[in-house]
Amino acid sequence: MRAWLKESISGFIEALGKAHRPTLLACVLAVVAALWVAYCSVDGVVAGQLIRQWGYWALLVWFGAFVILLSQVWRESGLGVRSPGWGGWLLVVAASVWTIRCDIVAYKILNDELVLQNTSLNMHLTREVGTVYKFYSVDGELVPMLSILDKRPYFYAFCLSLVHDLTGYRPTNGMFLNLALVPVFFLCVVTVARRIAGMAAAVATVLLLCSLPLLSQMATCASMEMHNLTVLMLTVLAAQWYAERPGGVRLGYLCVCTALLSLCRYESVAYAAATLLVLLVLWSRRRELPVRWWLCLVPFLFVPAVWQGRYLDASPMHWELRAGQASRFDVSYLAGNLGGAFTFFTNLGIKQPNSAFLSLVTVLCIGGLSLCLFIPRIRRVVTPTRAETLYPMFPYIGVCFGLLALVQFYYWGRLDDAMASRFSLPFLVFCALFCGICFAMWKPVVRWLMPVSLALWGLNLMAFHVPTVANHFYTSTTFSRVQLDWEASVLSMLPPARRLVISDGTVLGWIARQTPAVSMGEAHRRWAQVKESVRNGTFTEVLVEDQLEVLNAQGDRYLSSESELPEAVRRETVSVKRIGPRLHRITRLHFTEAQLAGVGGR
Amino acid sequence: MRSPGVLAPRVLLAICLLVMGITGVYSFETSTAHGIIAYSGYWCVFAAFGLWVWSLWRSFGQRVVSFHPRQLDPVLVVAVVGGVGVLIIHETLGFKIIMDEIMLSSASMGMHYERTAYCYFRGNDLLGWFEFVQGDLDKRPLFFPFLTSLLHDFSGFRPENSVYLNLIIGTVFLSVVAWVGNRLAGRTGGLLGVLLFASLPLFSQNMTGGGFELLNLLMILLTVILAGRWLSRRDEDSLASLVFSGILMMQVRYESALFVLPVAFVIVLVWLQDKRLVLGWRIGVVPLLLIPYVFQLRYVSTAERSWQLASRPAYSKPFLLEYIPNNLGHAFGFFFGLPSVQPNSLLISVIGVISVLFFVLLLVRRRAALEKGLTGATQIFALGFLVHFLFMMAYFWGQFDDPVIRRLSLPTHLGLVLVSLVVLPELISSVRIRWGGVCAAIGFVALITMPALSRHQYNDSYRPAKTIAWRINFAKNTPRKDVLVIDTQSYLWLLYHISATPVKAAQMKPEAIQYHIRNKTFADVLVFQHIDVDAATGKATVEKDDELGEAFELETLWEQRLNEVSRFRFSRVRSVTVGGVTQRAGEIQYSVSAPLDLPVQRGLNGEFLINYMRNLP
Repeated sequence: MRAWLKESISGFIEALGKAHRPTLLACVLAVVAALWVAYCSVDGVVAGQLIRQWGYWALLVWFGAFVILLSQVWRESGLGVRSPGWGGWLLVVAASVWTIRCDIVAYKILNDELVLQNTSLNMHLTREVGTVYKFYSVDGELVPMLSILDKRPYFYAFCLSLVHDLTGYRPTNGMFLNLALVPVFFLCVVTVARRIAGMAAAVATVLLLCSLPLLSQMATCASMEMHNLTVLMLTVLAAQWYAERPGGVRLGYLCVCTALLSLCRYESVAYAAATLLVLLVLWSRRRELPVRWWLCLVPFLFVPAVWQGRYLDASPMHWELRAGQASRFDVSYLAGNLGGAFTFFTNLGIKQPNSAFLSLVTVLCIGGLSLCLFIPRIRRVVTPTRAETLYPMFPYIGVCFGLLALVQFYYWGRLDDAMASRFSLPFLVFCALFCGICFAMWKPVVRWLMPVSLALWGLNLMAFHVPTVANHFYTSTTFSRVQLDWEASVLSMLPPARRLVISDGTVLGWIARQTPAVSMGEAHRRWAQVKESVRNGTFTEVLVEDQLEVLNAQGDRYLSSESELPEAVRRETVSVKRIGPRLHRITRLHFTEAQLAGVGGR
Repeated sequence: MRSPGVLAPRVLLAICLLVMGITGVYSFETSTAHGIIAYSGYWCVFAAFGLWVWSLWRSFGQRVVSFHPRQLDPVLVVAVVGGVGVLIIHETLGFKIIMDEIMLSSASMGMHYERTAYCYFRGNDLLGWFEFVQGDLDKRPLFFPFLTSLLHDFSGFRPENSVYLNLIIGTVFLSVVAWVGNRLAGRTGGLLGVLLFASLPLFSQNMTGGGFELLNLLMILLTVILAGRWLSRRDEDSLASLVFSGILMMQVRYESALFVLPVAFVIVLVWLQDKRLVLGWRIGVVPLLLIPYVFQLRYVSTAERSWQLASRPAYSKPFLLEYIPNNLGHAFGFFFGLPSVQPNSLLISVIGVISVLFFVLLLVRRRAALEKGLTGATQIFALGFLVHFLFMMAYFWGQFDDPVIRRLSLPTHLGLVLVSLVVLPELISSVRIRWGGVCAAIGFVALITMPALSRHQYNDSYRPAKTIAWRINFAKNTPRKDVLVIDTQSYLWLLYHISATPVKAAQMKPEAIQYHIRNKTFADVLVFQHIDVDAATGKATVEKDDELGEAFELETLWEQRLNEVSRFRFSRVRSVTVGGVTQRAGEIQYSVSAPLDLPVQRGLNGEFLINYMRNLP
């Protein structure tokens, strides 16, 4: 290890010596400048404003560069539709169909999906990065009136806005985008595994992923996890391509992929370190530093991700801390989170979207790998993998593992929590890849490995996976989904009207369905305007959505005084539904002439 | 000294037989056996099915791999496609036979969601997740629900999956009939076999329904074929294929266990002829896989309702020789009745009866000399078909012209067709006459069967199916699934994930219904009831089993006449009175107060939810 490190450092120094000095200096200055721009030039609030105004356009340039570079890499590598082979395509199609079939296509993750959907709606309508919280139809045109920059990275929302641009706005477009990404993800996984250890590794990896309910859950919702995974796999593949045959186009493609990945999820910016490590190791081994003038631009690609992180740091309202919690990361969360992680990875029941089989196989593979590493006789027997495609994956696995470790210090990091289990997804995908590669290494040596593995996988599928996905407990019990479905069904049964909804909960669901809605607090503040818009016919119907809370075990109810209307208006019940312990109610308001008199022009 | 390879399977078989004998007969109380069937039934059928598929692969894998579509006879392919078309085009896809299909679908749902053999009759939407609260073991064997659950596993849960499964099974069955006919009597034999079944409206009715009759037919036919293969090959894989086919056949319908007699006869016959005991470890584990089946037999024999004696109070014993003369008259009425009244096939009845006579003559002439292969197997299984027919005739409810019982004649139809195909080459050697017969059969299907299929008058007279159809239609189309339905057949609603409870449960706990009405737990509480009408006075009374009691005040939403003496009614519970306190539906009472602290509110929510679950009806 020490010799390897020494050789790498000496190789890097030698490469520095050989590099074109002026370009190298320009690159170093660009890094310094990018760091200054990212961290010192503006404060977090201004950074947020800049992202709101210019974020879309910056990302459009990044994305355009990605498309151009991908097409060049494609052409240069001689890739084509036939590259994965009929076996590869069959695997991709079968795995995609199975994964999608294993859960219901619906909104699932509390708030996240609606925020992303509404951000994409705003990007679609105004090219501004921000979540719409209020919008109206003015002269038949939908006009967002209030938007706030959200904490979530916006590459997924950007892609979704492109889908809206190309196919028209639909609240379900987020799910369709994720469904479309599933085959792309599997194609990347198959390609990565196959290039390392052949088709056996690809098949084993895909089979393991097909027995992971969490993947199905994320593939069929409108969240950014599937998108993050796909871009992560594209980046790993880009690293493999570059390591196999270094070149300017491939380097550019890798850098752009990493930059896009940094805008997929909050923590994905950390994969930039993995890419940097891949490049440094590769350059030092090859003893050359391929500096180009355009490399000066690369550090600036990561500025939006840093700015958004700083905006989040400066906006405690986005942290969503619970009562008694002062910081997002703390050692005090570790014990509980580790317990949650253990429960999640080893659960055999139907209530978690985990795969205990994958956990077990990973442990066995670690054991097998240890045997290879420490017993030379065994190392000589197992089938070697292709080193140039395997090694670029290690830094990404390292960062992924580091991020999972970091989550253990996060205040909402219990993996057995329905909202937090998705944080483990990239880790589980890398576990499956690792197991697939190990399987391919051992398969030619151990004759019974394939039939026994297949039999055990089949047994796991029938005994644990299928009952889990059939019940999809973890999806059914998210109340937000039930509420959204109920709101949609109520809306679909009402006759057409110019409708305003006042809600004491989130208004994002109504806005996603392009129904003007305001929060109860906003309605209190602007009650006169609400009445005026009813009087002048802007709205012909005002609905109020509120929640009756439980007062005691017998089921007596109360309405929070904060959810009361500013004045007594006759209400007609439209629909009532129990969701969890609460009763959700939608009522129609009937204003009297006297109530409307004296507002606006009168 | 025998080698371990020969001895080991015998020792394994002996041990497993001992275990089965002890556990099946002596060790457990019925209630314990009940739990064992529920939790191990799925896995034993799964293992038997897996071993069967594996044995078939070892037997036929080479032929499957080297198969090319050009090997198919295009005339027979057209015949099968045409036959399937005729059989499904005039019938509506859906449940047809009151409880059977619902119970089978319910069992398949239990297997899909929980891997148990329970049929659930109580279930509720618990905080967004539909949980099955209470179930019971059904008397019906588990192989059909198992196959349906596999379809659920790979295509998603749909109550109608059993109907789609029957479409697949029907198509496979006709293909196998064509193959068998071709083997026994050449191409015209294959064509005639398909045409005979295409002329049978009863087959069409079952092919478009959700019952287990077609699977039963298919398994009997496959067992005959595999018995033929065992007669010719006499190796371990042929034996394993035959044995597992027999085991699975037994687990389709109760009375199919009778066909185990010819299976055992064929196996022992070959052993005796060869003076060699062919076994294998697969055969060794068979008794273990049969333990749940043995328990289920015990459960069926102990549960009075399982023989449905209660449905006909005039009868005291399920099986008696005295029933035979009367049932034979009904059987004659069914087989030779008008096609518009009975879903029979005069073609099968006439050809079959003539063929049976010649078949007996042939056996006598050859002094019962057994042939090899498929013909020999058919000769042996003819005995099984005869025993099955006599068994049905000795059953107290064995009237083949009864709408519910007609389907039990299907194995007899299969026997008649198989015997016809065996006799055909012996009787008619002229190819021209055979083709003439095929043309006549096509004419029969076109002129007699198709009009009968179009009218399906034999279906329309069946009252219970109409109430089932109405409820299924409501369950599928209602926009609000968060209602609670009180119904004696609560199984049906649970299939569509609508909360339901039996009438008895509601009768026993009116305070629970009152609690849920007060808390608006369900959007509505609905009640389904059957009404008897006195033809003379016109007075309508709710059937005794559906009577809810005085505590409930109902508001009729829909009432429909089925015939002069029966109706059904669908109502909403307007109020429930318990201990002098009346709770009316639709009223939400609440106060207005400042929001509680989150931990306090969470505590209250938890207490409420525990109380809510305790009060689930």
